[in-house]
Amino acid sequence: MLWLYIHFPSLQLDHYQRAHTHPIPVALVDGQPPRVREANQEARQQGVSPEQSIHTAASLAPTLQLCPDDTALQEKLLSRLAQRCYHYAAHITLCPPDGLLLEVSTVLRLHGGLRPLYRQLAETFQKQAYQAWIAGGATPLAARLLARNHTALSDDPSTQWATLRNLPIQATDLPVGITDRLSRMGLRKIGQVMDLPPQEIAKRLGTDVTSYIHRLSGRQPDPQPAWSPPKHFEVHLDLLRELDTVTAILFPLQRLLQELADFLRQHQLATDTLHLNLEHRYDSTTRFQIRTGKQAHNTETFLQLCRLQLEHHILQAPVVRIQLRVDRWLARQPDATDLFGSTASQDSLQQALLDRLQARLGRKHIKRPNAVPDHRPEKAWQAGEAPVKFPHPPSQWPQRPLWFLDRPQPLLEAPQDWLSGPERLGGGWWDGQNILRDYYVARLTTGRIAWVFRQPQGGWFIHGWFA
Amino acid sequence: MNPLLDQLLEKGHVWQATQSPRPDTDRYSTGYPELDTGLGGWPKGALTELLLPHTGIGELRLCLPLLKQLSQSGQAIFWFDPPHIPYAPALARAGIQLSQLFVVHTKHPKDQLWGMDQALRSQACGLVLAWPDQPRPGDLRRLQLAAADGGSSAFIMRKESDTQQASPAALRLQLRPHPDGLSITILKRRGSWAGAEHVLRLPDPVTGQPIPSHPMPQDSPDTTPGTTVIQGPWAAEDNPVPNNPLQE
Repeated sequence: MLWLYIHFPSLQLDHYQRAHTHPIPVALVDGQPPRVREANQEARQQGVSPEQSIHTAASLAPTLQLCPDDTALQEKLLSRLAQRCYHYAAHITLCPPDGLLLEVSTVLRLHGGLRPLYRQLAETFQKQAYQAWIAGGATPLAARLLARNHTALSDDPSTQWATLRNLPIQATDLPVGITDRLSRMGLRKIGQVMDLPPQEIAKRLGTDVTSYIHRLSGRQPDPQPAWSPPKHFEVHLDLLRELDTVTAILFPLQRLLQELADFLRQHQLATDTLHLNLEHRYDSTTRFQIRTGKQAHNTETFLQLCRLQLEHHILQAPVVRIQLRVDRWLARQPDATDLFGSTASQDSLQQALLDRLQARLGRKHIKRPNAVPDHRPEKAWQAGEAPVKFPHPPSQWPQRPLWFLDRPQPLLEAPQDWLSGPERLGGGWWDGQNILRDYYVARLTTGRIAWVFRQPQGGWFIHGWFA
Repeated sequence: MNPLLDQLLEKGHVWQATQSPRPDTDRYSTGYPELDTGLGGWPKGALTELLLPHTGIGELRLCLPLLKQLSQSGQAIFWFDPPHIPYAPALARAGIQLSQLFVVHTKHPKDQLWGMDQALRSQACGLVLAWPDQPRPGDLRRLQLAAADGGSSAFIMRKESDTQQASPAALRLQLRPHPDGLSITILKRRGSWAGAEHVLRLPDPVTGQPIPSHPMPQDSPDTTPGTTVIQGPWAAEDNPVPNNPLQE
């Protein structure tokens, strides 16, 4: 068996930094009274170091952002990173708070060895702006210790063991009390402890330590539960500096959309609805639903639609968190390509144009007029897409005006000529919209030809223009 | 040659007949033979302005052959802010593919300009029909460039009062109602001269039959001038304007 352990030395700090283009000093704090637990490079350069009180840290770096150490967030991030790794390995185990364990012996041939796999993983995390220390080992614990101590990757088992045996005893996960006792006994390296007879260790330090050493050396099995990817996609970004312009949101949003595109590619899915939530400073949230007319799966399409929808939006308050959720999945259909590999068909161009217009102007402002088989003029058309079956071909339909008035206008002048009529249109008792009108075609003094009607109770109205 | 003339030619200040557009390649047939000979067709990839005193004088009947031709060849037609509802039954009867029609309503002139620009550039749209409110020459210039870029045509319907305004449109026509159809005056034509007034016979809106002499409904107002109108809301002054029957 070969295990690959990926350690994220600054998981939460990297997460905060991802949303911003310029480095920002950030520190994680916990404890009572709160102390700095971890600081990123930018903060360390300004003198912030672990175990400082927050007052010291804040006076050293005035622009320092303090964030609580959030284990729930870290777990969520790990699960997200596991999704990225799922592309490379099938058996993944989450090791909270900051590690992932991959069983890779079964996929080595697929990737052409450990080194190419390592390179791909490293590149993935670099692209996502996460620091990752990766190491391989024959047992899960060995891989973990090698990765956490940032040792160089080696695909030779004997080198791995030699490196592991050379690690100080403090590098293990054993409690501090035990490591202290071991070093007082003169056992400073892991290798020295592994060479001791297990019965002696058990007698002096307890069976927990022997079991740990056995699992480390592979003498005792160490089963790892396999993680399975969720079937929905939900990512978020916490912003350290509140963003108050829409254009500033687009940069972090692009990262989220890239993740979505990768997720869709891995699962061979596509989607047509994104839910974008912008959380504001005081607990309020602006929700956007971004819809595409046709299924989509690439970052550029999503980003363009988001941009169009956001461009017109005025933010009520600065944004502190961006969340992206997708729960509607469609099977991906390959774009039909012609002989020369060109995919931009008239249809897809038209769909892209409609998507853009709908994103900016609103879905309900773009209508497709359609005819409906109803003899009442106002019911004979609808703004919808439903194709309706008609008993007669359109060429046999009665003559109607090209312009139809939503609200009939009173006819205020005597028409110059009467061209045709009357045509009595009545009925509609079945849906409560009964009409009874006599329609005429008349030329008015302005030269226009109007479709006028008269009701039995009197009153003349223009209902359309023969334009 | 004269260096001054060379300079003028280089800057494009002088129009040359040799550079005029080829009538057969970048024009659509208007569907009316007499208009085709007069105009050479509707310009493709350019702006056409139609100036009319009011809507409903026959401007749609003028465009119908083009709409039919484009929609049947699968090209989308976008209507931006039409003044009334384009009536689907009548359009279908005229042979237009309704699936290619899109009616866009915008709240702001900027949105309208943006939408038209997108549609013209997209190469997915054959024709844009637009009813802008007070378009500025700069906006029209932008649309003209977008149309040339995407190879789509645009018909801009404007008020008659804008006749005197300069415009970058390739073709400007002034339309007036006429008992037989439309009276068309060419105000501007790219690569040619403005023309005189011309009457275009449009198909009869009702039947295509000759107009009947006086099919008078019984209680309709008398149309002979000078006589008192007996009935109808327009006649007697004390007769209030009737309420909208669809609002009741």
